[in-house]
Amino acid sequence: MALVADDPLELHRVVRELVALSTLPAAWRGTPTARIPDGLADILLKSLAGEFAFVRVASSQDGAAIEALRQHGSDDAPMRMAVQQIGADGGVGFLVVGSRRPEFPTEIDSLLLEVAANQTAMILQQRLAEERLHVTLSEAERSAEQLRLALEAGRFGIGELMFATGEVTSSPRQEAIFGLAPGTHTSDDFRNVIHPEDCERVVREYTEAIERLEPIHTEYRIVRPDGSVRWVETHGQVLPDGNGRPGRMVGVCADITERKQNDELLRVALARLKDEFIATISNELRWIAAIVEHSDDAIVGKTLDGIVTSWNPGAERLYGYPATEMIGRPIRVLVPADHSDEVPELLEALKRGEAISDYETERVTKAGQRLDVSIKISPIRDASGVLIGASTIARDIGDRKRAEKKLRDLLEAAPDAMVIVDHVGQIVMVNAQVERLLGYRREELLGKRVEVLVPSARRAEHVAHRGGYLQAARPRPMGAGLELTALHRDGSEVPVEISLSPIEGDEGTMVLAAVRDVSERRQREQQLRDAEAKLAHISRVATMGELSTSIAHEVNQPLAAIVNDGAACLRWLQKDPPALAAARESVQHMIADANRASHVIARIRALLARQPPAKMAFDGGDLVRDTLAIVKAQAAGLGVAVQTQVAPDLPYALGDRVQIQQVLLNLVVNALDAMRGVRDRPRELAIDVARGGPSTVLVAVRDSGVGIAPELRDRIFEPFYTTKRDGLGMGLAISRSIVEEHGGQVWAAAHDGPGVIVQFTIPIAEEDV
Amino acid sequence: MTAAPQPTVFVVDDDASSRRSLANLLRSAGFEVEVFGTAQAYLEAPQPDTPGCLVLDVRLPGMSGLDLQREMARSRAPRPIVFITGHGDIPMAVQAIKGGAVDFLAKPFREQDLLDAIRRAVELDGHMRHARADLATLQHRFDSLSPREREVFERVVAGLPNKQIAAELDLSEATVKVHRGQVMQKMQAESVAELVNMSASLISPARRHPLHRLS
Repeated sequence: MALVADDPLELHRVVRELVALSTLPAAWRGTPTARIPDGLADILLKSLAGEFAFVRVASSQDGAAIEALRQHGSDDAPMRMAVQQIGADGGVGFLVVGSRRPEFPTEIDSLLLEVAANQTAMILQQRLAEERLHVTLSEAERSAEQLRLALEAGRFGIGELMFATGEVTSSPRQEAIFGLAPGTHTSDDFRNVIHPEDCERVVREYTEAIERLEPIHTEYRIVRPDGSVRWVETHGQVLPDGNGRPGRMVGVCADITERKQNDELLRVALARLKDEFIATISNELRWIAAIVEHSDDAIVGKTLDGIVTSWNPGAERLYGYPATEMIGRPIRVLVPADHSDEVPELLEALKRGEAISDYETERVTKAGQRLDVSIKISPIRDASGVLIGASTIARDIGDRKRAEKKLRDLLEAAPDAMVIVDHVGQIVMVNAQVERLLGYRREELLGKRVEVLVPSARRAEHVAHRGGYLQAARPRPMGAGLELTALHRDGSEVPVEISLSPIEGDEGTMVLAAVRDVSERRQREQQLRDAEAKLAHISRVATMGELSTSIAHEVNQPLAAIVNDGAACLRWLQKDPPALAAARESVQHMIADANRASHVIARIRALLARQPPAKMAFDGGDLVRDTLAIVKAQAAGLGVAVQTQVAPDLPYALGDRVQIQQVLLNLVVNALDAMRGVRDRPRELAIDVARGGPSTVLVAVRDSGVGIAPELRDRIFEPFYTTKRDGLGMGLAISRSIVEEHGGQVWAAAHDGPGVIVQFTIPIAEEDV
Repeated sequence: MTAAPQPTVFVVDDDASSRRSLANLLRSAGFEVEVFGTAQAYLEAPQPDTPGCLVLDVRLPGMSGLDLQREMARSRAPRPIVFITGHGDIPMAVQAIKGGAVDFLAKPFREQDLLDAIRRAVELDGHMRHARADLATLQHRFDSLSPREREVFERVVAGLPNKQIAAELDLSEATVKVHRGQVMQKMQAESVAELVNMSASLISPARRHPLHRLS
């Protein structure tokens, strides 16, 4: 039965633990005996991966017990226990180890436990012997009987050899250990029981120790009269006589057969483990061989000179050469002529001991077909670390290359500039549009940080954002709401729009950035803005066009009055006598009306003028009055009753007076238009100006017109949305842009009657806030 | 044409300056002038039975000039109207003329055009007053007939011979002759034909004296 499972790791572990346990005596040298149970308990928990350990040993001094307890975990899960005696019959103590492993104790656990117990017993018994000897020598005055009893209690034998007589006095334990009958013996009696194989060595050791008056400590086998072979350990101390010659020797002995058996056990176990280890390794080798055999990759061994030494079926399949044909031939037969300079380079790198990975190149098959391959070359060393060759693993990356080519073709076909960046921000692919857009040649960008394309002011920020993007990569536009620019090679900045998509690759997530040149669009946007400004102006003119009837009326009224007064004046003068007072009065009226006409024209000119916005404080009441003056005739023509209300404490508003008047005019004209079709109720227009909030003036225009469906109330502010048959749909859009430019708001709502109330706010002039 | 008091021109115009200058011009031409800012103000003012005409602005706040024209057409004593407007508006002019306006003038107009139009309007007003006065006389005579005389009147103007009238009214032919003489005398008719004309005027005064522009 195998000691261990087919698991090299477990084997390694067991060997390591056994070696550790066998060094315990050395490790504990100098450690107080009382501390040994603690140490043992710790070691047991670790070696056996146990959760519980209890150690109890007899103290060497007085026989009292020393205990150590270790317990890990507190749950009550069932625990399996193993008990092991320390010493031959448990005379030294015992230990208990617990574990929750269901298979505990395995054969390995028992082996480790036994070895640990034996090592401990050995240490403790040896210490006891040393201590007893010490006691014997330093307390010579104490009675021999006391000494003997004490030693007997420690299972040690004691004896004394008188060199003068050759007689040995033994304690009963010593006699028992050596299997001798009670009584006085000679040193020869003892020599005779020594195992013939050890005898010569032991006698030599004793002889030398006696001659040099040195202590002796030795181990040897004895053969008892009953034939049993035992191991003993003896400590001796030679004491000189009065002449400085060896007088007598006192010694202590112990039966160490268990320890020796333990050592043997350990040796055998290690030997078995070694065998199994080797067997496992060979299994692994077979596995590796099988893997090599069946791999789809071409796995080739070669010498440092590039001569093929092994050739797997994958290589046969990839290159078309059978192993028999390739082994012994130079590897360069696979290299196309235009790549021939690669081989010396690769071999040089190999001789320096460098491994080469993911080397992408081309190879040629037996049939002469070129292949795209990715090659990995690893140096092979012998047991002493000397380079002896290399293994080459080649993989056909034709599919990948084709996929890459397809991707590249797709990228090239894309209308946008495309940049692929790897997970550390290096540019791995760009298309021709990048060259065109940013002025770089492709090879100048590949391998560079993508930040070379980012204006320097934003680079640091870009690095941070790049990291953030990879945390939650998904397709999205970059820099939402920002006007992005890319850095051209010539240092100029190109307005761009960038969208990002993650690409999962073998080496982590890469990011595809589609960079669209929006300089034209931004230009168009600018043109559009300009056009809008012009349109706003045109709309103002158009609004005036709509009002032309009213304007004509406005100017016509005073002109007509002038004509009337002029005619009247002539008549008054033609009377006999001329009615001079009436004529004078007529002329005065003519002057007044001419002035009035001039004012009307000035007002219209102000409205039509395309002036730069100039904010100034103005009175809301004046605004309403001036606006109504323009539409008064139109309102009258429609039979609209106009009501205005201006809050008495109204603060000055701040804004471009002409623009705000345009807004109000627009709202009023809309209100009048909305009432054109109303026949079943009074046509009423109300304009209120009041404080809107702490810092705004609120202007409200209310009509009794046809109203606006609630869902359209916001749409009416959109450009080109109109409810009028011939409307341009710009009036309210422009009104809103004007109001919002002023920091105000404009909105439409229903009110308690029919029709609509449209309100807007404008800020209060500073000094009024 | 009978001698009439100096005609009055009523001016309705919302523009103060326009209103005032018109009044100045018309007074210099010898007219009496009264001015109003709105149609309502004109309607609410006391209406003396003065000869004259109306100079009316088409666009007025509240009730427009055209509204006032319609209102006047329904009244017992309409005044001829000369429309004035700040801006030429052909549909409006057509509507005004169809409604019986004397003229439609765009401001600024030549003084002579206005004065001519006003003179025509005043003349029309004279005709209309005359017609109204004649009708009132006839009505007065008709009202003096007894119920029996009215029955005979209706049948005479319908062209029935005395004999048939007698049969219908269950009277003797001699009695019918007496009533017929009374009717001719009370109505101051010289002939049956004249009596038939009178009857037509009484039934539909407007048919004989429509408010047509004089050409």
